[in-house]
Amino acid sequence: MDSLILQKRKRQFIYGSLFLILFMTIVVTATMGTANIKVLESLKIVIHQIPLLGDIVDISAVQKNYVVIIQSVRLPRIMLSVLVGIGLSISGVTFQGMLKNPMADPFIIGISSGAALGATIGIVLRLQWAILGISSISIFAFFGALGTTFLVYNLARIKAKVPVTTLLLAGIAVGQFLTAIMSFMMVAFSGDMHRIIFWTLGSFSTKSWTQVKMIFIPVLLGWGLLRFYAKDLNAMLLGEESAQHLGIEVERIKKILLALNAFIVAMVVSVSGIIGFVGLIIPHIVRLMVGPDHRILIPAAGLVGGIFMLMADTIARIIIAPMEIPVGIITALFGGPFFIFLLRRKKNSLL
Amino acid sequence: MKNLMRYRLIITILLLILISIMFGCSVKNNEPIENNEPIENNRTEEGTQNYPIEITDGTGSNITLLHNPERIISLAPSHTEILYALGLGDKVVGVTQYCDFPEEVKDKPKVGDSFSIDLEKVLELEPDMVIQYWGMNDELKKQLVDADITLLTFSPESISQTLETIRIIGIATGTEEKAGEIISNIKEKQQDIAAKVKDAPKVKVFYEIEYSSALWTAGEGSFIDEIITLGGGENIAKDAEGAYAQYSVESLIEKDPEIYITNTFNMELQSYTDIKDRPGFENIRAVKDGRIEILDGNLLSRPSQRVIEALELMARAIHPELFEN
Repeated sequence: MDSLILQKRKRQFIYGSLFLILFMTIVVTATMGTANIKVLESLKIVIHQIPLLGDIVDISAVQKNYVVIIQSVRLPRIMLSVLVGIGLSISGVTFQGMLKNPMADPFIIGISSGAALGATIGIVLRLQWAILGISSISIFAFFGALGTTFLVYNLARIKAKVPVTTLLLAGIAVGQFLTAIMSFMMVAFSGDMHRIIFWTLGSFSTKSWTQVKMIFIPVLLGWGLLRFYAKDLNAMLLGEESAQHLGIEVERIKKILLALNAFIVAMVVSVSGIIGFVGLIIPHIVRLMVGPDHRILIPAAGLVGGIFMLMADTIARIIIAPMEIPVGIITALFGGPFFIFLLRRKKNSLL
Repeated sequence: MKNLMRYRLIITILLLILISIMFGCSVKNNEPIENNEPIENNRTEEGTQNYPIEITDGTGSNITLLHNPERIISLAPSHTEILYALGLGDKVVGVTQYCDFPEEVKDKPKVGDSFSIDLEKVLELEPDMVIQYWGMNDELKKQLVDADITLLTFSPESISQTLETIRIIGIATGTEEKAGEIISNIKEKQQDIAAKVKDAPKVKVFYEIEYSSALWTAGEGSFIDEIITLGGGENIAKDAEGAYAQYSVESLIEKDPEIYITNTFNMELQSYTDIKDRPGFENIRAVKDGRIEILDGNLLSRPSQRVIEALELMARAIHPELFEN
């Protein structure tokens, strides 16, 4: 009994401290930016934003400019990067578990190629409409991602079963094919080439509360649902046959996880473009910290992913101010070495 | 064993044949380009040219021209405009698909665009001179050189560089006098504008190249930055560098420009009102005062004789009160 209680305490400690770090990071990064806003003033503006507490603080003395910057530019960007970080890492964790492949990332079954092609079509068609403030490009990217998953799934399945290897291979093949079409379109419509490239590079730069509202519920809901299937994921790690013998309906779970992940990733990619590395590395980093049990891994990876993405975006927007670096470059530059550092520490501790 | 020996012998002989074929093909291209043709002493209508002449193109390479070019291909819309302005329209035998000024250009044969050049088409048109903006890859360059086609490269990014380009193309094509005319005309108009805006207060301007997945502006050292400054404005994005810089929206809002300028290419995707709806933009002076100017994208991106029109357009947008006519 003792060890179980310890485990629960340990888990609570991990979640608690991670959540605290996330919160602190949000508050701190809200005071950082290219505009020269004093720390105290920015804190005041942030608190004012919180629905009930807000009225305690009086911001009438603060420059209107600054209020607008923090409320309409910085805060939505911060919240969006956290949500995207969560989405990418939890789907990275589930794909790695489901496919039993440490190299899996959220885009492995061709989702990124599908989204990019969708966005390319949206950009090239120059459609001017937007539904509820969401641009046609985002919508096309979203359906591109979902459509690709559907295609890959159907290519890989044999009656009701989806063998993992076939899924991976089909994903690679379809991904390459769609990328080829996208490259062709880039050349055929070379006037739009730069616009397409900017989209694929990924950025949180011009995003507003609209995007946050759009992915808020899907990501958090998806997070909860994935956590619900954590035990099944644990069992699947033992091998599909063993899991089957333990009573897990492997094929059904695979389908559900695939659909959930595809949805989360499609949402994330449609608002932020394709940001690599996070979904691949964060699961491994967190696994080194808390172990492979998905019941802890899924919540923890989400939190760590959110923190990491937020820090990466903050660096991207302040390091060469007033210019910005595409955030995907930052995630790659910092994610890699940090992971190597963790790996070496783990290796040393095993000696 | 005997069969094995024979097999190896045959393979070796085949390989040797193959190698000598490859050698043979490459040897053909090593003939000297300058052969013993009599040097033509060509006088143009203006009677000022004495070939052969040596010029330095935009990349700093020295190029020798043996005769007046009669068939010219232009690989950039701006170069096409320059050629027509110099009166060489009849000598232009090929252009890119993006060349659209002046009107007559649309009937000329197309040889591709800046990214992909149809080399076969180019060679088919038998030009003696090709003028490009960006350097093509070495393979293509070599093919042109081997076919005795003079290749000039000019990539002007400022007004002075553009004028220099016009001047050198003028020398190369025997139209020096016309080039001089164009250049002094532009310089005069430039001085006019400078005089007009000299005493006017500098207006804070922001130029948006694009606002899609990020905000892009033209920073210090770019053509847009130059014409904003010459037009009596202050580019608030001076602290960014280069012709294409990703800028922070926070900085834009903090610096609060009085005029917000963008171009027609960009606006194709959005409407005027969309700018006001962007997060944080409603607080910018330029948006509140309705000082959003949308300028002709073509004019702003052609470093040809029309740079002066781009400058006029910009100056008018920044100081409308000084250009009432």
